[in-house]
Amino acid sequence: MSYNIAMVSDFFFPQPGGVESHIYQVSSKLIDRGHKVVIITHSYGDRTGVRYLANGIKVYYVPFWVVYRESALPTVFSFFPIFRQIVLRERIDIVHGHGSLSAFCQEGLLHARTMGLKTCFTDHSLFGFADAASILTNKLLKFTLSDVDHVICVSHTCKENTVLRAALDPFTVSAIPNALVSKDFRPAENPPPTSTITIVVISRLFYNKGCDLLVATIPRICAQHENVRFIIGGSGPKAIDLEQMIEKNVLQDRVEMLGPIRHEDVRNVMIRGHIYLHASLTEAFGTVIVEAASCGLYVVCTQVGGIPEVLPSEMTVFAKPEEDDLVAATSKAISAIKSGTIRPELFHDQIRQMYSWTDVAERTEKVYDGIMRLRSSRLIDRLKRYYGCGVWAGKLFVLCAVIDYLIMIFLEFWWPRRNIDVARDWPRKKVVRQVSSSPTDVEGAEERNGWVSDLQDQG
Amino acid sequence: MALSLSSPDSPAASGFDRTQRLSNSNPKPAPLSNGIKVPDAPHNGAINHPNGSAKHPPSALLEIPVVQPNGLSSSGRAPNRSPKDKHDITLPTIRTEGPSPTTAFSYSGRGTIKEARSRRRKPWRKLMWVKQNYPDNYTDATFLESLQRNVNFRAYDFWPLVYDTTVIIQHLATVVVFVCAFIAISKERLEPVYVAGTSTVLTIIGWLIWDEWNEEEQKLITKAQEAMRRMSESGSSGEGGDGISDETEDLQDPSCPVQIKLADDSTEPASKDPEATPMTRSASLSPKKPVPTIRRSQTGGLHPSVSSSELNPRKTRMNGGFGHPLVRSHTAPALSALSVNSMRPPSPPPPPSRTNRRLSTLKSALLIYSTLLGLSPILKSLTHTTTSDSIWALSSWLFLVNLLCFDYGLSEGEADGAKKGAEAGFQLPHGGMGPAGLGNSFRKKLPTSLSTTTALAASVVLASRLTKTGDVFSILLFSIQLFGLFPLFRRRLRYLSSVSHVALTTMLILFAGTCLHFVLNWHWALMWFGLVLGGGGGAAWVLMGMQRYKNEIRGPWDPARPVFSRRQWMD
Repeated sequence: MSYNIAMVSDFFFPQPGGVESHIYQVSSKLIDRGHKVVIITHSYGDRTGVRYLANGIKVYYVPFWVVYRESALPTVFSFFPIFRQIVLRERIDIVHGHGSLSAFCQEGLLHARTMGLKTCFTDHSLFGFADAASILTNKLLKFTLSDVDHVICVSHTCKENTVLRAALDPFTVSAIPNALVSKDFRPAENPPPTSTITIVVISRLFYNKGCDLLVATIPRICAQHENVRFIIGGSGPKAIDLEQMIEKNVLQDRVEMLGPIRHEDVRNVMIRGHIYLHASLTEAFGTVIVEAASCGLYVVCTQVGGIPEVLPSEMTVFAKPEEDDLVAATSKAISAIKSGTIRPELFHDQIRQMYSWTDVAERTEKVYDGIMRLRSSRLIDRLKRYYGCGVWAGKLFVLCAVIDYLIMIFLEFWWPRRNIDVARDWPRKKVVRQVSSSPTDVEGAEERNGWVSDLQDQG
Repeated sequence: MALSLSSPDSPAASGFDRTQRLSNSNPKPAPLSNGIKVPDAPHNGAINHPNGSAKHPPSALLEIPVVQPNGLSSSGRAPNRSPKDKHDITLPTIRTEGPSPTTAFSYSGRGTIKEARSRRRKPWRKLMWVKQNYPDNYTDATFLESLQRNVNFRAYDFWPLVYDTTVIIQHLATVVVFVCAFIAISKERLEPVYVAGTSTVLTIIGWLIWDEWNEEEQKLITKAQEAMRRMSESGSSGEGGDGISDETEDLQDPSCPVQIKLADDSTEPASKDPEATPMTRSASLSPKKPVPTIRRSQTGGLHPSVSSSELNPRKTRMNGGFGHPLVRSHTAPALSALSVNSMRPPSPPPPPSRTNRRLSTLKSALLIYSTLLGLSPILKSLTHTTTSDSIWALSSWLFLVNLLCFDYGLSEGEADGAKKGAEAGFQLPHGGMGPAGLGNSFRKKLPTSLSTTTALAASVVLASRLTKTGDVFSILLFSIQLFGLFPLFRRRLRYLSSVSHVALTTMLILFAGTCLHFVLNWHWALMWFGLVLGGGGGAAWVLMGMQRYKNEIRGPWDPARPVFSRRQWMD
């Protein structure tokens, strides 16, 4: 059975980022598995209308107002007419939203429920509970998610967070990791010599990426170890702090700032180094450390958020988000590299077996299978669920849902279904719909299980 | 198609349960204490579902909670793991929905439920990189284990809370007293001279007390510093101790004739030191200022190497002074010149001598007095063309702003200062204009200027309603004393003695009530006392009651707070 899936999010190509590549990769792999995927996002500059990406992914760039950091203006209902058009044209079964800060996603999920479609939501980030912005987002999330069929989170910590934020039943939340295209992150053919240890940092230079910790630790590491170089990639408001740190400590010849790096160049930067240093203060999954390990780098990272779940301990040195601890952990990593007790060049194969988009798509498909088996609920049931969201918010949410329903009735009258053309599908791939059909997969699974059990025995 | 969410009652139930389970899963959140973990095992289990706790039958609906994979791990982990009981909470709520959503999922790739159960399974681990033989929506007993609630919880006590409200009530009372005075004067029920006279007398008394505090504080500081110096000098000679005792004696005795030992500076070998010269100059700039004796200089003469470095801060303090806000302007130039030349860490400049301080205070008081006197006729007709209604409204708003912006800070500046003092090695009881070289905390201790300004503006517009110049003058003088000086006094009193603070508060409350009673009528007085009771006791009581509902959630998803070692701030 194959589904017609609409991925809805504010964040998509041409903007780079984790959510964006996740949507693209999962969509691509789902198409490989015989589904039809369209992506609905807002227009980026003059990129408006319908575009096709590789593998027959159809992207609708809907003209919409953008308010902040590529998030659409949250209007509760104004997206409905065009959303309905797209959904009907493409005969969508499942609407899959991405990113809790995406107004598009939240609206899309609401309208999809109103139209009686199945919905799924993937959360990519962690949120606190204390500040005003988080409280508002969490309330909104509660609204949309109280009626979503299933939620996917990228790590177990993210799952705990989402369950708390949206007051969900934990059994309707699955933890499915991100992945990486492992052939894009091969280790260097000729690893750099270990006479000079190079430490790579690639992240957006924001406060929550731990740039203050970097500013504090880099001079100390440079002072402690003679032959250590740093390569820092990425841009952001904290770049100026790092530059000041370099000038103040006269580290121009030891710390190299590369500025913004395109995603396809990340590997080229990474293979110049031996150690990847990740000082982030909060992280739902931390794809970049997986990429670094896949490139054959020994990873030093802070133990925050979902990071401890992501990599096995033999590939990483964990540190508390403290200056002293981070320095100690980095020194440990440096001496480990120098003494040759670890073999980072072997990481790649292990990572390849741990994470792949095919696996992610397969697991996502299982979620789809599950939610397609659910019967769609009646309006009154939905309203009851919304009503339970809070004393005041509940009533407001019910009001929104009712208005949305009325809008749908009006649209059905004003622009009936029969007058909407059905779009022709991209030729679907023929896939033998058995999970273990392709021989490589079976092999992979076998290998993987064996390997995992080995590791567990060791641990 | 087994379907859970479609059964008619379930959504509401689930909706409610969802919220309840998380927001107040514990109907009596009273036993919150530091770092309690959410799933408070016996309570939650017992309260939420008396029938379902701890023995979930191996229900067909959920494989998950039942699974504690192998007996070993379950027995090993269960006792100390309260979140296991989390499932006692979640399970029944799910059961009410009928078949759980999970039944619909087969997860065949990972092994069906039956398969999983029959096989001996490894315990689930919270890791993403391991492919585990569990469905993706598996929820382990460890779920939300690292959740923490109300980490920084601090239970309030009633009386301390009430005590904290006294600051607000005091300020309210001063505003009430002022408005009463205005009404009485404008209705000509009270001679303005009495108002101004009484308040002036009280202010002078207050100032004398203030002056006494300053003096005591000065002594304490000097002693502390001497003690410090003795510690640092210990070993050099026993002589230092003598010098110190001499000096403290001198300072302790206010009647001690003051001598200017400027000559010492020039005769000493240390005076050739470039650092010493600005000192002499600045001292000569203010020759009228009597400077307390420096016996130390003799000691310095004996140990020239010590003297030059040690005398400077002392001398610096002679001239610069923070003894009184009004003195600052006189001493500022000398201070700055010194601080530039003598590259010393900011050492506490001593206040000018007592007489000097008193004189300058008197001078500024006279200045304000005469300015007011001169301005009164102008202010009288300031808002002549404005209707009284507008003035009432305007002054109400201004007083409201004053009340809102007033710095009710509960001993923050003092605490800071005390901390700094403790770090420096001695404890300073400086509440008011203590020197201690803490320019910042000094500034912090002035009430915020906005509230003072609005209060004065309100009194100016009110005063402009009055008809006689004398009335205007009296009410303005009263307002300056009440809103400009009295807060300083109150703040310092609160710092120094809580008993007298409470006494002052009580007196103010009673006085304000009496004023209302005589100027207006007893209704107003009753309302005032009601307000005091409600604002003090009532508000504290409500706050304590609301504390039960505090539910702060912390967990690994919160952004970590980076910890830096001190070194960074040193350089």
